[in-house]
Amino acid sequence: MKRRSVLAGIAGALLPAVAHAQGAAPSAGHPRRIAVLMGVKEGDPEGDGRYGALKAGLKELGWVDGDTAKLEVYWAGGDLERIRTLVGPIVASAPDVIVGNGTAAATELRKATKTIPVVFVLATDPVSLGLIDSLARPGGNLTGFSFFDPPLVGKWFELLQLMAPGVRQTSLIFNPGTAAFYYKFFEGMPGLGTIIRLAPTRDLAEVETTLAGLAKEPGASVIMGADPFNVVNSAAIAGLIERFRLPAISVYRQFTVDGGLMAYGPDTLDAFHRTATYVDRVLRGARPADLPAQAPTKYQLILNLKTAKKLGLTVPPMLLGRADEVIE
Amino acid sequence: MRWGGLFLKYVVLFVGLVAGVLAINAALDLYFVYQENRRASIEVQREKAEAAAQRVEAFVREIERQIGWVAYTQFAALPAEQRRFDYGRLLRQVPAITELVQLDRQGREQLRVSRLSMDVVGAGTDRSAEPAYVEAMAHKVYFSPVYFRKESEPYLTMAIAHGGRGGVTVAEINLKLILEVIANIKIGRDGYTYVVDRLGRLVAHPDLSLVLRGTDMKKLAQVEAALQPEGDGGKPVDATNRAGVSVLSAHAAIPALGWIVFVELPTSEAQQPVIDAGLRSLALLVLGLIIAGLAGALLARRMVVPIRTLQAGAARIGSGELGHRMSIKTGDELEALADQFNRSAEALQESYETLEQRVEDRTAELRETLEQQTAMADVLQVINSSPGNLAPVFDAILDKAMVLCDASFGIFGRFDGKLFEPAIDRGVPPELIEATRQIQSPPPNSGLGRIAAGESVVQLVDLADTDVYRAGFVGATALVDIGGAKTAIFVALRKDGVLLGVIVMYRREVRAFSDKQVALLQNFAAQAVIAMENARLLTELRESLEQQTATSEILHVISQSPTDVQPVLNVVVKAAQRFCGAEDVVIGLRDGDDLAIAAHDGPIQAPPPRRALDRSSAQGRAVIDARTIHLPDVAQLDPAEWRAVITLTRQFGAKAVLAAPMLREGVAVGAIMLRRREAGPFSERQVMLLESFAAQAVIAIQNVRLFTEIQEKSRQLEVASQHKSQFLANMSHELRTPLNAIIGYTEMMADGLYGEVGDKAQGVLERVQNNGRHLLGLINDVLDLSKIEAGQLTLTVEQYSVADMVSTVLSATESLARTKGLKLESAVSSGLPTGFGDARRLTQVLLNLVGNAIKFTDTGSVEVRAAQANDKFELSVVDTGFGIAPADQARIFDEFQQVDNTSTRKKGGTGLGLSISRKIVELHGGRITVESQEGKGSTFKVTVPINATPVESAA
Repeated sequence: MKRRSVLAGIAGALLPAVAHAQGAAPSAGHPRRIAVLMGVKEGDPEGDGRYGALKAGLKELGWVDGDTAKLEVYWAGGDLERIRTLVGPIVASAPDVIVGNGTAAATELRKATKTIPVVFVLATDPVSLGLIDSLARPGGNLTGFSFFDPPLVGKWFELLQLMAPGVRQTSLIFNPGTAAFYYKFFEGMPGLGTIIRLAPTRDLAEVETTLAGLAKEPGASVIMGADPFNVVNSAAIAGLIERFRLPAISVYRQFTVDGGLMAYGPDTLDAFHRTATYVDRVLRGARPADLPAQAPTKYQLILNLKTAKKLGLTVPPMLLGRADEVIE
Repeated sequence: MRWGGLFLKYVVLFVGLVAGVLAINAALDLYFVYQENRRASIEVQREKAEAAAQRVEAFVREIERQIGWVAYTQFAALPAEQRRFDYGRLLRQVPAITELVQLDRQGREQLRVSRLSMDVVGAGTDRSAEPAYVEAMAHKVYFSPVYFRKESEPYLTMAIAHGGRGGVTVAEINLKLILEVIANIKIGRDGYTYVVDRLGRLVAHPDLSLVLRGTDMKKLAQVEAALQPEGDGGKPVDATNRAGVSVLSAHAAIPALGWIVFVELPTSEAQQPVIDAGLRSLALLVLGLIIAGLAGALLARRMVVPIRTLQAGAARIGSGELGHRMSIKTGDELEALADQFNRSAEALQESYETLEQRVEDRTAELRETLEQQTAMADVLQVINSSPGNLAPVFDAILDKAMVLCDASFGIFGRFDGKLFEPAIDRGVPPELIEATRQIQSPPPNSGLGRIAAGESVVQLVDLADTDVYRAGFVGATALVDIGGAKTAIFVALRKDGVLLGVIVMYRREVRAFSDKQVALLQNFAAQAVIAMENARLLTELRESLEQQTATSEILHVISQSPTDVQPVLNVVVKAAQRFCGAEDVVIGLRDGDDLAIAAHDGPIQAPPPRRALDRSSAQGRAVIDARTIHLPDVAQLDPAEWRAVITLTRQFGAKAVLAAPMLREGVAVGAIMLRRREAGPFSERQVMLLESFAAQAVIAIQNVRLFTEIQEKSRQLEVASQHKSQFLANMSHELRTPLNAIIGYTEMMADGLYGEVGDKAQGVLERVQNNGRHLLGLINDVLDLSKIEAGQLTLTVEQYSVADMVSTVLSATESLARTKGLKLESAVSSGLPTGFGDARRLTQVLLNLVGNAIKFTDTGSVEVRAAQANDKFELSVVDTGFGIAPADQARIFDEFQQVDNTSTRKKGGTGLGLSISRKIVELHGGRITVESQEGKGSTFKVTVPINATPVESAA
């Protein structure tokens, strides 16, 4: 053992020092402080999965929590007020970098600091919503990984119609606190407003009232919008949707695991995993302004055939052919 | 160490030899390696560049091949659904394709399938002028120059003509995915690959951010040179990369795409083989040293080993292991020494062995005593482990007694007051059992006779020489003549002078049992008595337990069937049958002037299902007189008075009847009756049990009646409450939907998402937002309150930290306090335990109190204090505000109450906050109080249990 380490030491001394990158590399002596503001909740599969993916990604790059890095995670539980309450202390604690999950978290962080680097993840349409100047050159202290752009809303409706031919209209469930951007989304799509309606809900009771109303309308369906509130309440909302027997689609894979009919959108865990690369770059000295914001590359369509069967739907080959995962 | 000198000599010799040879070898090796390496790495880099270019091209060609599957002439003729399906599948198979467009032969768009937006069928847009269409129609395949979507993501348009009368499939390819290809091309350890287009713009690079930023690579000398038309054919050159590191750079072109693939390796790494060779030599040198050292050590070891063996052997013999012998075969003085040791050990071993014999004799004596004690203990253990079960106890006693008394056979007999009955026997010949089976009463001078007369031990040393034998008593003659018994001993089992049984041991030789053995048998007898007594007590206990079980079974059934009386009556009938020892049980219920049979079980035919209630039947009289009727012999009854009893019993063959009334508030609702086919009185216990069963049946009947009433009432209440909460939920939803839109839009306007907002407009927006939020708060408050009123607000109990809660509230209200110029402070005791409660709701309470305090204080400070008092938290909010008049202090916690004066009017608010707060605190089992002096300030104090258990309803 000892002899081997001596040899390794000699070898190391002979090798020319190769600089991988500039800035500070991971070192146990000076753990770097990474604050993580999660829009979602600790303890549910999606929340834990996301944080786990980020942590794993950081570890691969040498940032081990409790050793070379100190991760301070804050869970907002899909609540705008909580995000607002948390942002102050996070910024005041002056970490080396902040990871902000969700559009609302990114927006509040942008308001709160102009100096601490912020890497956002799953922020929707960041250029139009003013988070950054452009994808290629974010400009300020924010950069990161975007979630999706407005046209995807239409895609959801299209998939719903393919799955359930009886669908004539759909309602997009979102919390106006954590996902106000949907109001803006619809401005670009004037034709959609009549068939895709906005259904703002601030709590589960309102979701239930809304769904109960929709269940009475012919050809109704539901889009469970991208929104930390919806992630936090995924299982409960999936249960309500099942109770009212409505065809529904979500951007989140977890929705189908919770019994939802289908999901289409970027892979959220992949996004968190890739976020680690930018946290790494920032810790090694890169400026967010120089790191282009990235759009997702991996999209997935997941179908829950059990739920389809319960709703009496026959899944068309067109959808089966496109599905990346089928829950039976 | 004495052998150190020799060891050193060997080591120096080995090391010197090996190191010398290796050093010469290394020097030569290094020289040649350096020469070779320079040539080889230049060649390798060139080949790698070619290979990398091929792989990048293969990536694009593979996509082209995949698209080829749909690019056939007849494709355009397929139905739209089929074409859409094919395109959809293509998207799934090739992640790099973001969008597919089908153009017809005239260049009009027929189908568009996208990953990111809705599919479009038959748009008909004319795209015939676009190069994708023109070039593909002319050359079958077209690759566009690289373009950047949203000025960031590199894309390539690929168009493939379908041939014949078919059109063109145009695909948008996301080149980000080339990253995976080039990241997988290994160029040494720190080498890398990148791709530039014909303008020198970066298309692919392991650092994706450089690509997304549209980095211009022309600034690098090697890229600039490669872009020149008279390129140098990709020969590697020494260059510098973007980070200023000196690299060996090679490149290869992909003419079809107009791209150039670069492969670069840091110069330092290219020279790695030279360093490696140096290292190898060094390692060999070190290895040589180690081998030399090892060889020296081995030589020394050979001398030390026999001495160690000798030392270890002596130590083992010294520690008492006298059988140990050393084996050293060195043929020298060491071997002789070992032999000497072995002989001494042998002598020692012999002297030890005589000593051991004496010890063994003593041990045998001890063992015998121990065996007896163990036997007693074993029997005791059997008694303990099998309470109530006598067979194993008797078995154990007899087994042990036989062995310890050295008896030929033995019997364990029980005495029931009149007769002896053999319970268990051991080794008794079957013929003997057969011969003695008939014996009724042993004569008084026989062994058993004497025991029965009161003796505790009788020993007959020679059975053949006794009076009973001579008198020819069958018991004695059979024993001697058939069983061959010569000596017998009888030991009585007595409890308080009462004979319970006897233990008898026989020997087939004339030899008296010793005093020790007699004493042992007496001990066994005493133990057997204890076991029998235990068993008796246990049986009694079990009986009374069974009765209680029956009662509890009935109660259980009562609780299980709140709406149906029949199962309970059925169980009562069964229980009465079992515990009253009755053959037949009938339950009759009063129904107006009739008696209806409700349950029956037993062999006797049931009475008619319904008959008039009258005093001539047992049940009828029990109901009317409300007392128990006991008729031990029906045949003795006066026919005039008991007409119905006599008719019914004669008809069904019953002889004795017992009927107990089922009384509710002194009035009988029915009767439970036992019937028997033999005449004779029922015991006191039976009467008592029947009455208790009757009482239980009444409870069940009453339960059912009450339950049905309650169910109906609660159903009505539930409907009413559902209507109310549904109305409130709908109402608040209808109010909140438009309000949410108002707040959402103003927020985005204020954030500047709709262009710059002037200062004045910003002020207005803020007011709209504040009022909107206030209105939303009101609606939420009303909903909260209505939920509390309806008992629908349930707490989510979880762990919380008071310190965290206070800091959350402070950070939320800080700006408000700062605006008013108030000092906002906190004093939280250190080491507060973790609380259990609805953290969100408790925070809401604290937020409300602090918010109020700030609202109603114009100068001075607001302070939040948290401390522990026994098993409760005390949270106080202290302000230096207007204070509250004593008369108002009691009212402020009621709904819609605010201290009514001009100064508070201006502050707004619904007056619901404190009321909701009070109810939330009460739901936690806590209290909220206020102390205040007008003009000086107020202190609101919340006391909540640290471990809150939600109170059912605080409404």
